Amino acid sequence: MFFIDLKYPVLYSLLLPLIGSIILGMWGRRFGQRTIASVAISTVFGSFLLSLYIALKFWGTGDPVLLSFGNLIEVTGLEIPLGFHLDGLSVLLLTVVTAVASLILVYSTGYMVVRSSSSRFFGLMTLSVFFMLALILADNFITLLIGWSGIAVTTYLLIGFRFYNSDTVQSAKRFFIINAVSDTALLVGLILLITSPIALNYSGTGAGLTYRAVFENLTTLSVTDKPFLGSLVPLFETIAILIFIGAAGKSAQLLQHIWLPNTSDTPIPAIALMQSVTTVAAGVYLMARLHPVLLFAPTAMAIIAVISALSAFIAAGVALVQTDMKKILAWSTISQVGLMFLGCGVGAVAAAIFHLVTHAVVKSCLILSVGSVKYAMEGETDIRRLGGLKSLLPFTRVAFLAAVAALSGFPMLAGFFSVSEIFHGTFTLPFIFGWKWLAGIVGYAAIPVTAFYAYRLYYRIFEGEYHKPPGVEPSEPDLSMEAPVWISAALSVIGGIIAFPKPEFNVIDRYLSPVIDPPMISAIGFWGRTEDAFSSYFFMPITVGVFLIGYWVARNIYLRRPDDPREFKIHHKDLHMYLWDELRVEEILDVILIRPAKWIVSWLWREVDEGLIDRGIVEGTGKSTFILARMVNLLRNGYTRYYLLYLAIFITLVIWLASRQE
Amino acid sequence: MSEHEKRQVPADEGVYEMPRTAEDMKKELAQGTVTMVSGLIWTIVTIAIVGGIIKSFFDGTLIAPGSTEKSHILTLVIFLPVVGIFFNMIAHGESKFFIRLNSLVYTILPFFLCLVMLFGFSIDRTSEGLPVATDQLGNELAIRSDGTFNPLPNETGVVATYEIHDGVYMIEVDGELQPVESTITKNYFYDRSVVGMQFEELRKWIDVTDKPSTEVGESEYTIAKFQYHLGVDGISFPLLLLTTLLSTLAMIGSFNIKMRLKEYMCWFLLLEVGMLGTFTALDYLLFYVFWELVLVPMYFLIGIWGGPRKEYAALKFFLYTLFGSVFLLVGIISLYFLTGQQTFDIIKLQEIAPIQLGSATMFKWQLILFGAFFLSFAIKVPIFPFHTWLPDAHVEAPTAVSVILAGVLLKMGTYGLLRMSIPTFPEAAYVLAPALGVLAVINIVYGALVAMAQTDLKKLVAYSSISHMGFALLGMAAMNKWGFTAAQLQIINHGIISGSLFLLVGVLYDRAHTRELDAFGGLLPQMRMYGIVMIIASMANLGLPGLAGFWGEWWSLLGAVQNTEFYTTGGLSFFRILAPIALIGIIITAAYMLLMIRKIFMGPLNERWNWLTDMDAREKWAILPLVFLMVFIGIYPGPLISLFEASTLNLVHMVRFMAGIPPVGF
Repeated sequence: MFFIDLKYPVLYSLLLPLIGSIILGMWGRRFGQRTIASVAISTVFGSFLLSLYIALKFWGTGDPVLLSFGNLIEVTGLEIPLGFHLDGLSVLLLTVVTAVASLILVYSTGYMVVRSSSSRFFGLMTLSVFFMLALILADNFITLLIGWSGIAVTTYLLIGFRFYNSDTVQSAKRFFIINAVSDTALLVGLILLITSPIALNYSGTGAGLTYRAVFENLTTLSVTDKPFLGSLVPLFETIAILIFIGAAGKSAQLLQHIWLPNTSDTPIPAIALMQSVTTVAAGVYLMARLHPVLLFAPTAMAIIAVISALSAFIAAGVALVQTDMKKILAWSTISQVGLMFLGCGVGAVAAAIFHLVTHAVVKSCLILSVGSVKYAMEGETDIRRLGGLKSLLPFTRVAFLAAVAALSGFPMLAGFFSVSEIFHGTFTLPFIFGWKWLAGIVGYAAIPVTAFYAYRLYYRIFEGEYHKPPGVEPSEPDLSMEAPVWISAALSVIGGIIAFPKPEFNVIDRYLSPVIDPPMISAIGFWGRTEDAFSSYFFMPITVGVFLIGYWVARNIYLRRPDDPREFKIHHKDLHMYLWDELRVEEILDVILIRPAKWIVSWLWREVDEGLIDRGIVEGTGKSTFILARMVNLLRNGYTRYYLLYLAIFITLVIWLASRQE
Repeated sequence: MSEHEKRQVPADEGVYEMPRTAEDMKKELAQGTVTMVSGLIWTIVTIAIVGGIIKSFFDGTLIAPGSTEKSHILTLVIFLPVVGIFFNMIAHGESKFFIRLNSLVYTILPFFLCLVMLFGFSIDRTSEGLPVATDQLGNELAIRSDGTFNPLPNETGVVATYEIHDGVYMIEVDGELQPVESTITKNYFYDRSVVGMQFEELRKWIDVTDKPSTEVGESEYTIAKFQYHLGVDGISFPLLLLTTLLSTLAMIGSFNIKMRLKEYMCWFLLLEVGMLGTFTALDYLLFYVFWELVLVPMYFLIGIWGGPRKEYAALKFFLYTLFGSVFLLVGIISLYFLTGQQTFDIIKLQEIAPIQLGSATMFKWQLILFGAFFLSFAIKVPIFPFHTWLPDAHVEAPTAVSVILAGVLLKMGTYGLLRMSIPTFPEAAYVLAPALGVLAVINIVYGALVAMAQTDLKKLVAYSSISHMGFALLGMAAMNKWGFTAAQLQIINHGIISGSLFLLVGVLYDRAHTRELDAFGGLLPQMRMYGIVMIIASMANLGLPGLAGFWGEWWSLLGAVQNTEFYTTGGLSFFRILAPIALIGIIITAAYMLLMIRKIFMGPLNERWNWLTDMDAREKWAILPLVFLMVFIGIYPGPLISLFEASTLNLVHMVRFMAGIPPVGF
């Protein structure tokens, strides 16, 4: 068969990063810097080459392929298979993740060269890539969870890379706990999905927990037994919401976002990896992977769409007022991922994945060039103390500008196409009724804000006056850092062509349609609705329009009237402070959750466990036994007359009892 | 305390020679002689024992399938440590190397035998899975598990004929009728597909008989029959493996005991005997003897080698557990009288009791007896609110004993529930399942919350044990296949994880002599290996998918979600409400495990500890097998599940059948 020869390429593309991280973990401390970096890069890049081969092989074919390696668990009634689910979605992401990760790793060789413990750093980076690939290639819900949690652990360790700093550890712990909460929600969602009739009864015994089996059942049911499927819709609503909570934790969506902006001391390449292709992307991938279930949960979809649109808008608003480069980009990621979730929420999954791909390239370029700026300025990340680097860092500046333009939706650049696609889906797909207008308009409102903060960032760093910090001679970094930035900038510029409207060359369409369309068609058939007919060209001018607003405002303010922001700050003090404090979610959580919890646990331990149960009941029993013993002991006083009295009482009792027997 | 103890010079104070006196030399001479003689005897006996095992392994008498009289491997497993105790006793107290070697050898040997049982050699089997043997004339027979056999056709399709006299198969050899002697030339090993007991041993122990002076002849009436009945099935065999493994590792872990080593090792080996006996005994009296036997060594191990409050903790442990045992004893005796079967055989009573106590009038007895058994086991597990002995005992016990406490002793409680309470009183167990579920969830959440408040590292791990045993109980309460699988998985995995956590705590305590979380900080760079292992163990403990701890939690939640038999309204049911509450426990677990990691390993280095060193080779060897198991089971739990799947499935079907509930669909 055609696909047989894909089995081992896929296996090796998955295992190569793992092998790399094992080598680095075991013997990395003995290696020199160059060896460490080349082990990491060669394994991830090798994985990229393999995935490129897989992607080319996969070109033009539709159906998903299951590559089986036997079973993980084989118990009567439950089989957990061990294999890969290879379809357009996984192939596309496999390629993108390994490609971007390779770029970031190359960058890291320059960036981390003076840092110690680089074997740990590169080991964790490759391990993180491995778990992301494991998540992407998983073919069932259990291996999905394994990859999912592996990402959590590696992210935890990467955020806490400089563990000797208390703040860093705090933010790592914050990430992991938020993640634990959302993972628990996901776990419940998946358990409900696995135990629901579409996974159990209709697959018969032992059909396994593969996505394919479950989704095929779903698609079949939507045709054969509509009333039964209709009765399952409330269950799907619950599952969809729980999955959303799970995905939103990893992707740092609103209310679960607090871990992402607070990764101040994390190495820049790690931040780039997390925000472009691993941690944050994992949530979007999860939503895309499980979208057949979402399509049968319209209320949940509406909730997801509206919350995500709000998330996109509000996060962009927070990015407006921040002054730390890393923080601005973190909030920008939250906002952009909100748009992806919006796409998933309305059913435009292909567009969401498209945006994930373009955003991965754009955001890695942005973060890496911010890293170059920080590197050149010896650690300065506050834009208030930067400026005028245009002539000093010319190459970085051009790359940065390209990425900024691509992020904010400059016409014909990468972000422009994917954002337009998302809104095309939002306004045309029929799943969430009128809510799509709310979600779409709020989402669109995020675009000018994005353009504004992105250009603000650019203007504050590269235009304006140059503040020379004492003792710093900014210069372009060396080639290993420059090249990845340039490549990703170039990709940001031309990235849009992968969704070139001509069908033969439309990569997104080629890979994703076979995955996305069949469930969509069956869901549309099930709900009996029709799509609104808007061409996707209709939304491109709108995107250009809203982009221009934001761009124009930013340009006016930061090039011509730099005093305006200060006035805004004075006139809207409350709003500014609220955004500056990053929505104060953490403070609220502290008051309503952390402090009561601390009080409760110490109360439970001190009062209930030690006080009531241990000292009260347990030791009380012991003590009362002693008291009883002492009381009995009082009888034993050594006087013969007392003993005779006891004897007399005893004999009387016996006689009395005996006489009662009669 | 002996002269030698007093004269010991701490290593870091420099070495100087004590003046040698004639008395010293005399003592050394005596010690040398004793060591030489006992070493010689030890070498001979050990070689003989190992040789005997190997010989009987190859000639097929080590494990004799179908013959409960011949088979003796379980007896060997249980009582080999007694040989170790003997040699420890005759050894000179100062020859520490010999004592350690001897103790290690006699804890490894049972583990090795368990591995033989697990892997063994394969033998020929029929299509039904029965082992094939030959009789005197070379005809093939298929041996059934009760010792009888089916003749098999030979190559030409002819089936040998046997004559039956008084129920005994006879065969004509050289014109003479002989009873058939079947021989299996190869050993067989633990069979994953068999539901019932394997490696069974059944011997007479105590027959209480009554000889009434009746007019016609003399006939004996057996009043009570106590048997020496051993056997393992899927519920006990994994625990046997776990116990022998943890004992071996804990033995390695206790090599650093300085004070009264000889005595310590004796108690430790005796403890192992008690634990192994508890998991294999199939007669109530035998079970009770082993169950109580565990208490005594434990009392001394905590009370002598423990921490500052050792006497208090030891006494509390002893009295608390004894308090529970009394109820167990009363329950056993009541069961004996209520069934009136003149037997204490656990398996036989399992078949009879549910029927005899199944009627409406007797049902209250089922409830009462279940309660009595439950109380005893609940104290061992421990189930809230009977848990307060555990933190004290764990904190005060020496490292290796904590490992055994958490890894094995707690499992005796859940094992009792699975082996005795639930099968013997299935209806009561089924009726009380929601209550058990509530207790399980209280255990999970309460244990986790209290663990969160701890500042003592060992106490934190101890409370986390309470929390995690809750998942095993939740699985049992779910009363379906997934739940029972979960219980069994959680029991094994928790043994591995908490065992390694206690070993790790011990590593730190041995160096720093404190366990206060706030006293540490930033230890990761200098204790790299230790940090990595600790992080893996913590992640496993908080149930990270891909590590061992996940599976028990996952399956118990799956089981709970699947149980829609109690108080169901719409899509909701009693257990479906319990399951999400249990999940809160997982979140809190993540919080306190991370708190622990942060406080010990991360943040700025506390300069007080800049001299701490990483784990040495002995500590690594004690922990790495457990880490390997954590990762292996986490990724590939299939082999472990298949060990007990048949038994748990059977248990579920039996319980549901006896309780009159239709079996669930899978």
